[in-house]
Amino acid sequence: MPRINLNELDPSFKFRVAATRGGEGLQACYACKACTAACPIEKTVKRYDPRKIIRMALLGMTKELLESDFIWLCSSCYSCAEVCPQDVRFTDIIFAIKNLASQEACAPGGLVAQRGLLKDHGRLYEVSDFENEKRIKLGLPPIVEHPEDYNSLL
Amino acid sequence: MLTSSRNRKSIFLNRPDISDGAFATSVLIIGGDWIGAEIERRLSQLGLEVTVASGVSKSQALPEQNHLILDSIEGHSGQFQAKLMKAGESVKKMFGFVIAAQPGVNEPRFQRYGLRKGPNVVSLSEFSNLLESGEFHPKAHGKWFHAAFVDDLIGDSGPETLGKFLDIIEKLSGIENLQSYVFTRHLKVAGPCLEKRYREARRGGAIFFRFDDSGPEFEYESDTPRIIFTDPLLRLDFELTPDIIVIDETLCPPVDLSKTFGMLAPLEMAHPYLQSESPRFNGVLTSKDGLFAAGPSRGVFGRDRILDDIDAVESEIRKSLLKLELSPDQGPVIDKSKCAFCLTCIRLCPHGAITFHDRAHIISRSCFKCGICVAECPMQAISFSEEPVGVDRLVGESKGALTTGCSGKIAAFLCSRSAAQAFKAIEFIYKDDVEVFEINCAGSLEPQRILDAFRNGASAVLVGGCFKGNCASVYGNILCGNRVDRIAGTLWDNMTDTSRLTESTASGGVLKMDRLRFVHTAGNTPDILAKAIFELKKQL
Amino acid sequence: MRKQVAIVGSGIAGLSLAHELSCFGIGSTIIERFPLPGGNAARFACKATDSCQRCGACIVQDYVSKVFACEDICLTCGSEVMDSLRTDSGFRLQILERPAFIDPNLCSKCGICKKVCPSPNAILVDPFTGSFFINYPECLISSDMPCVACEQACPEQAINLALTPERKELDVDAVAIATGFEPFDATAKSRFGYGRVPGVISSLDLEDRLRRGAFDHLDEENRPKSIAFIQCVGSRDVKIGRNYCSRVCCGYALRSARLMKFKFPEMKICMFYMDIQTFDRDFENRIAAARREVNLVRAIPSEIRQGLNGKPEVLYNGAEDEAIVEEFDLVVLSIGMGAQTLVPGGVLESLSTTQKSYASGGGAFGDIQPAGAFLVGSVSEPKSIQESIEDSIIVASQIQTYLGDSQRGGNVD
Repeated sequence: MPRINLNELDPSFKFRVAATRGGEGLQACYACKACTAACPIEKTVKRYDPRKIIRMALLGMTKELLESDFIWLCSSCYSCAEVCPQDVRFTDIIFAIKNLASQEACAPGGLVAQRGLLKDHGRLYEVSDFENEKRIKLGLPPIVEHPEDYNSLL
Repeated sequence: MLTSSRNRKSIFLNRPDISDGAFATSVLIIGGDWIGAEIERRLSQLGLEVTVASGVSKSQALPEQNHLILDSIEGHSGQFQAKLMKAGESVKKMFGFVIAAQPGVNEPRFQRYGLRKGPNVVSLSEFSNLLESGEFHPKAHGKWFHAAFVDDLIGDSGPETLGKFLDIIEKLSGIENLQSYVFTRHLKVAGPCLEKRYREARRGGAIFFRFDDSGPEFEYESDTPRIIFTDPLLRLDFELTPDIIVIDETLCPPVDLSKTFGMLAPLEMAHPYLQSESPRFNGVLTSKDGLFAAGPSRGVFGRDRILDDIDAVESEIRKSLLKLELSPDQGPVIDKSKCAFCLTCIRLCPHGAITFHDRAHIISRSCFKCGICVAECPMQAISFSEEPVGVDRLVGESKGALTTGCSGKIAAFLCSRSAAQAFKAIEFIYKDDVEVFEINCAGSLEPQRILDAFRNGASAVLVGGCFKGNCASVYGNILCGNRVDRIAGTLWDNMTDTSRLTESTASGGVLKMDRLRFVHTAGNTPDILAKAIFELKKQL
Repeated sequence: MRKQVAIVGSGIAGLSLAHELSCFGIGSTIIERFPLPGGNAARFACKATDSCQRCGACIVQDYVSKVFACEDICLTCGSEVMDSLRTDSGFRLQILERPAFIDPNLCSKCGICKKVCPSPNAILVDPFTGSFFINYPECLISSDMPCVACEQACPEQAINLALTPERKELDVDAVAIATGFEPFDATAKSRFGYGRVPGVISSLDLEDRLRRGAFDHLDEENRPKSIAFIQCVGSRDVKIGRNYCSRVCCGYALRSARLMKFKFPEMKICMFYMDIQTFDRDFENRIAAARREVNLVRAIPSEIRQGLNGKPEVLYNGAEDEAIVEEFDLVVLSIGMGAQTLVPGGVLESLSTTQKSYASGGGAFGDIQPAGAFLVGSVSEPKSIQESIEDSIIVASQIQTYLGDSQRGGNVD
């Protein structure tokens, strides 16, 4: 691996994460390894390591982090937040990082497509006339899509 | 603290001037920086006459032209005779107390890290001064100004060094686009509020790299230093060309301690500090009465703790002044007719309480009643005029009589500070097997008394002293251990029954003869003593 | 008239302060809640290997003897300050003094009382003299179902549980609060399994075992072969409001580890830490020696659970980032120091603003001290034994100055 030059990284990235909802605790981490030991994902996917993700964010390895695939692996089990002595709340941080990645159009294709579906239909599957006709035959009320509900949330 | 320095009136001002008498109350402070100045201020408020001089080393001279430099000092509390140099002339003066308050030596670790001092590489003190005087103007090469702080890559600094770096980081936090990196080994947060400040520094954006065994390396690229390291967390290789590197400093005790104080007491056991290793010397006390060590000279470097030391010096001096009114306890006395002027007592007294004027004199005020001189005098010219306080079982007219009553029992000579206290917890088990002779310090046990105990029918002799490095008389326990070793050796030479021999350890564990044992113990380890007694009993 | 100072607490700070005050010719009364003097410091074991490790535990006993020998010091164990009032010249304290239920002159230290006692901590043994004491709060006589098992069992008839506590009034010129610290309750960190997983003990439990020589008495089979020390349990932890370093734990854990290794060289010792804190001068030499003897692991475990064969298992992230589940025979949690929550009643309590913790750097009484009341020892911040003694030396001088001032009609606010 070539050496990474710290001078070329972006020190302001950590402030950006910290300013994003959920990312407030980022700079509290003092790397005690408790979260890594508690994380169930880390046990199967070595690339995913909470304290390493925090360190990358702190050092400003923006590109490496936002374009990575592993930030999307979190199972939101909150084990890391449970054991953290510094109240870092890593699960919330990873949400913040994911949001930033998505803003930079770095989200994986599947997720982008899902977001599109939600935006257009207010649900993850389109309900077409075909489904509604079947429902009427079965005596069920038709489903009306309300994408505006979802969009109002955004 | 509550009563602070407000109205710190002298309680001694109204007293008759004691300096007329034999005991001088004037104070000599050695060390000319803020520590000495602060002590001078405090003690002057007590109404004492204070003189400040710098140590022997010229490098630590006071800024003024005609300052005092200590040339030599000898004597004891109340009567320290100092030869001071002032503008090339020597002045002789008498002092009651001497305070070692020299500043510590800060050695920047440029060499250790392979760095050269330069515009981009400065030491911690230099950088602190730059900041203090407002002469630091960060000029970044790129968009960000990168400041690298190298804090204790060796791992031996204390919390005071981290505190200084945090001071700097806090001061720099107002500067925009300045990124601080701290390269360290252990974050020494064991100081007041340091953990909190460390957290605040992280919040402010400082990044801390904590290395294990392989630290960062420094290399030069056309005079610009570069840091190359593997991040211990990410395990990726990084390089950083900082705009400034601030290097930490090793905190060393003052260099001239042994030169300055060599005449006062055998201080080699305390090297490189003035205070002995033994935890029994609390606060600023040294093994020498009237000589106090404040700050770096006793291994205390942090500003807060040095201020505590200054408070402690004041407290100790006030106490000593009150003590003057009491007549000192009677210590050992030297029989003039027996003294052979061999100076053994002077050489061995750990408290520097014996001086030589025509012959050896024991200064009772400085004497700790450890009895090392009594036991070590080759002419047996020194004896306790009356037995020291706290020794209640030593009654009898001749020394032979002292050990009667131990016939058929184990005679135990136990140090009052350790073994005798430990015995109290097991006394109810062994009171019928053991006859206890409490001694003030193991160092006072004369070889004769061990032999007397055997002569009086003791089945075995057990000597109990403090652990190494725990003796209140610095090395009384070690001297006693050596003595026991020698006796055991002598007895062994004269013995034909080899079945009694056990393995020998020079460290004072099991000795050559199984009926004589020396144990190191503490007052709260009765199990060690019990084990020794049990084993002795089993062998008999 | 001789000045009198009340010292609340007979830990190392209280004992050494009483001694220092006596050097100034000031009398003192030590009020100790426990039936034994010495406080927390007396629970610590000597850590000397073949030489002294400067832990200072032996010094406590020195001071106990000094205090007993000194005529100017009155030591009342088993008593509490119930109420306190300000008076013209100082304070008036209401003291509840509990009797010594066991007559030391009759007691033969046979230990039968302790054997028949149904409550585990009700009968205590003085580590220094081997004498027995009844710890009133734990004893069932304080409950609804009074028990007289020990009284009946005592062959010497040394126990009299019918004695009742006395209320006393004490007028003093100044008060020194030396209530010390409260050891962290490790059950509050439930993921470390204290009180739940067998084989997980706190460092204070270890001190007790070391002091009793418990490991020496075990035969080789039953002796633990591997020990893990977990650092920073109840220190450096924002979540439980303890954002401070307790300062002494690295020192005592390393000393204990070295002592164990010295006694039983075959023992495997592991220490889990974040940063090793300096605990003495010449730290470098000591840490180098410890590094050879102890396996230092920079990681805080996520959990300690009971393994299949009943022993505690430590889950942590190893040096190579691998997830490790390691079994130990004994796990020692290095518990931190917390601010004392028990404070004397009355004006001394009400003068203290709100309860503060060490984290805010104020100690149990906050920053405000009333004139004539002094804090000494680890009540204000975590302190080692030596530092507490050094503090006493300073505070004794301050008290003397204060009393000297007030004598001259000085400023008493």
